[in-house]
Amino acid sequence: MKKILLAEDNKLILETVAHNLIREGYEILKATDGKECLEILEHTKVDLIITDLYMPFINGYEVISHLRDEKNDKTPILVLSAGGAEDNVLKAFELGADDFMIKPFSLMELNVRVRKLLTMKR
Amino acid sequence: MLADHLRNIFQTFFLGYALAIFACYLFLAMVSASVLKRSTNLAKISHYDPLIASPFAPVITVIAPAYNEAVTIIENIKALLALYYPSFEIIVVNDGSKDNTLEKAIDAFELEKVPYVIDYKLNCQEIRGIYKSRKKAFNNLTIIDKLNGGKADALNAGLNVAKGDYFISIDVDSIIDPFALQKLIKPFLEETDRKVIATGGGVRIANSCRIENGHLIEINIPDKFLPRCQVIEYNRAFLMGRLAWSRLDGLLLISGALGIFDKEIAIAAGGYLTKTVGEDMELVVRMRRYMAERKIKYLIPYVSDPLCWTEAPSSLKVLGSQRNRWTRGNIDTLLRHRKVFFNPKYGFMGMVSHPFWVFFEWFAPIIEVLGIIYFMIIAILGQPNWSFFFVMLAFVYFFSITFSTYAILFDHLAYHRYKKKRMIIRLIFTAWLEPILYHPLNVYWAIRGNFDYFILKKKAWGKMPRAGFAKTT
Amino acid sequence: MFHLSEHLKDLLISFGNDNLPIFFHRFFIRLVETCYNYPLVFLFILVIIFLVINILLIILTLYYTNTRKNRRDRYFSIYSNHYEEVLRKYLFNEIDWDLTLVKLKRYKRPLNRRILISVLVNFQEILRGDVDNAMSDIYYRLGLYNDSIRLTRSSRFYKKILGFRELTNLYPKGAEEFIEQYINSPDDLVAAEAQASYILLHPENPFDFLKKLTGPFTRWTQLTAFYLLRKHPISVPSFAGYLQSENRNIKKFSLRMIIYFQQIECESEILKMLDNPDETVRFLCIQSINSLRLFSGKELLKNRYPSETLKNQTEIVKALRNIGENEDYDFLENIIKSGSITLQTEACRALYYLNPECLDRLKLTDPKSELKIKQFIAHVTDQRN
Repeated sequence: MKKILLAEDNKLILETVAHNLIREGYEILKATDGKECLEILEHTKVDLIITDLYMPFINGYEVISHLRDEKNDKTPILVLSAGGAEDNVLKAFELGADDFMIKPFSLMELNVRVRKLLTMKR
Repeated sequence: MLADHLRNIFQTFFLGYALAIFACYLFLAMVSASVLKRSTNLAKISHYDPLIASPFAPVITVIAPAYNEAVTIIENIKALLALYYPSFEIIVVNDGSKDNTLEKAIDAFELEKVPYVIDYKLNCQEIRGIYKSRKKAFNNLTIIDKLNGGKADALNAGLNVAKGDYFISIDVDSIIDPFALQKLIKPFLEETDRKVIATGGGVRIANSCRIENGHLIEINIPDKFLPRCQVIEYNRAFLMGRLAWSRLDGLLLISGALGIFDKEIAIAAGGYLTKTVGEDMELVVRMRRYMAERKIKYLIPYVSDPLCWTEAPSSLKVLGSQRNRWTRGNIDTLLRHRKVFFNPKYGFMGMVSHPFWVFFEWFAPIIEVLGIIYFMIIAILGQPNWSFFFVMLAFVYFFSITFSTYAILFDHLAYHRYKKKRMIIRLIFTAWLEPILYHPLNVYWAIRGNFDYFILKKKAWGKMPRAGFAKTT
Repeated sequence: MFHLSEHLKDLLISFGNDNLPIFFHRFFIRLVETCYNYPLVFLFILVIIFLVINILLIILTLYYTNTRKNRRDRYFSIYSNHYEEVLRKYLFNEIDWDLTLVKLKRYKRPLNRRILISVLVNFQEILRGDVDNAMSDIYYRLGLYNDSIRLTRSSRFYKKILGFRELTNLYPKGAEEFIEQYINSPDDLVAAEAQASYILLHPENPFDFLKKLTGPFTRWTQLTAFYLLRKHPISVPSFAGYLQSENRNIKKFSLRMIIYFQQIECESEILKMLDNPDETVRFLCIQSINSLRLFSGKELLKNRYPSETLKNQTEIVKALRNIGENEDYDFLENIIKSGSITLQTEACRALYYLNPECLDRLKLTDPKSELKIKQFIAHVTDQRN
């Protein structure tokens, strides 16, 4: 079973997306802030990371940059964020995010994108 | 006969002064109550997504002067990077630290010196270098390395490099609420026919609160008595004073710990004044004058939400020097802008705010001491009216604790931060002890401040670098 | 005056004599006498008693509201978690409608209906597409819109706004009848909310209300309007028509929208705005000339340059970087020789990106400035500045 790590501080989004992805047949790990996200990644290998940009302690940009630059980790990253300003999207991509979705988002679309990112890796 | 006459005059004066001061505070409290009610209701329905998601969100520059902060600098910058706002930059100004503040930041954030042509729009000590990160994740972080020149000078240096339309001045060692930027910028976006030039935010005490990585995890009542007194003091100042002053359009002081300003106007008005210890109040007064003299309608609103948490001094020595400095800062600003005093050209600030500060902030401790001296003379010379004296004393005491209890109530109704009963009870007890134990100290420090200002001529920060603690009221 | 108070004193004493028990008489008379001898003291004692009662009342209020607030918070979080859970299951078709209704415990209570509405709005805010409709559907089926409509009739401004917002998000039609009357409400906040509803109710002509607007149309409202425009399937109108509005905020909004949606057809209207008395309107105008690459506006900008504010001058130089041509080199060179450092930097940037060789020419004509120019080039070529 594919493992997906969800990092999101909004409880409603976290639970809803998790519920949705579990139904799609993935195993889900949850983190409510950037610090927790990185801690989980220290000891667990996941197939995809879905992260918010604004989180307590460590924001999404730092999470992405930490993984890509320091850890040299190539795990696909999907950014799910409220801040859809062009600069934010650009910065996330430049740091190494693979996909970007802006809140409000459609779950169907999310599923498709998740599937695509997971197959791309192979 | 003459003595009787004099006595009458003195007594009437002291009684009248006390009643006037109480009446003013009562009025301010009532205004505050109505504003607070509206803003609490407004908070229930405020919705920030349209701002957070927008490419049109104005750029905000956060300027944080740092002096010898090597121990905490990394944590503090990390906390700033996690602020929740779509477009902001952080400028940390290393004000000629003697420790390795700069080196630590360079290592942690992979900074390097960038070629930069600085436009010295405001005078400041020489900027030795501008540092930016090699990493994209930190592309909104800038560190300025400059020669030591004090807090105001550091802020001016930051302003010279700032790119935002608005800037927020903060103390690098205080904790900023992650939502502070969006809440502070809101009044600017809601301006109608009057230009919003600055906004202040609520500052609270962080002692004994649980803090991790520069984030507030759990709110507690300070364990020590002095900080606990300051909790009540801050509640009074912010929730019952500033809120009302801003509603009346007479706010003169935006705390140095957290305030947001229109950059263009701040620079046009001349930036921070380096020759004073009260640079935060001085800037607000000067910006107000700038607008009034150009006959532009303006507004300085105030966000009462607790957006900044600061470690209050818990030792007598540090607290004393802080209060002494505040006193000197106030006097200095009031005297520098004495032209405003009862000058109708400056509207409410000229006719009410400035005189109020002179009579009831600056003079209050002096008159209080004079009153005590007067009473002692009468007591020694005989024939004091003891019953009147005790009743007056009781009145003053009960008035001040009623006032403090209301401050606790306001904070409770609006923000409900201290959720446990035990916390509220401890606060109320502190409020009862505060007038007896804490207030006299404050009066003493204020008198010392006057003495230092006028007799010892200590007007500027001088050679001594700024203390680690936040200047707040 | 003296007589009157003496009279009052006599009255008080005789009242005491007549009505109070005998053993109390002497004490009462003494009390009245003391009060009359020390009127001020007596007054203060009364005030102190008042203050003490006051303090006791506040403490009681504190105690009572603390318990109530804590309980209310707990109730809120329990039920909103519960409703979220149930609705999630319903959304993913794990339970059918009837079972959902059973599981939405206590949903008939007014407080619970409020919680349920807020959960629906929260869902609606994060999800779009299929789910979006499901939320509106539940809102409608449970008749929750009646609760919101009731709120819009409240005299409390924040309840009114809340009601509007719920309707706007979940059932805009519910607000159709009375929305127009609030577009120009004297309370700016209520008006802003009504305007948001209007935009959603008129997806073909979302900004028609601007023509009748008397209120300010603040930047905050503009942000909300733009947010709705991106979130919902609303057709973006051409904003050229709104540029003629008397209201400068509408002008600014239109210019921002023209830039964002790259409405090149507004060219002639934009150029007309260049001599608007409002600085920010002109600023946005320069920005739109830059962003839409309106070469026809270049000479106008250069002519305006001497009379502009520093902020707008900077913006003009920035625009020349994109719409400048060979003939503008002298203009930019002059700025490098005379302007403020910020202007010089921007002029250097513009020249560098137009044609770096020009800067070489500048170095040669004035050898002293060579070092300076080098610094400028280093500054503008570092992407981080």
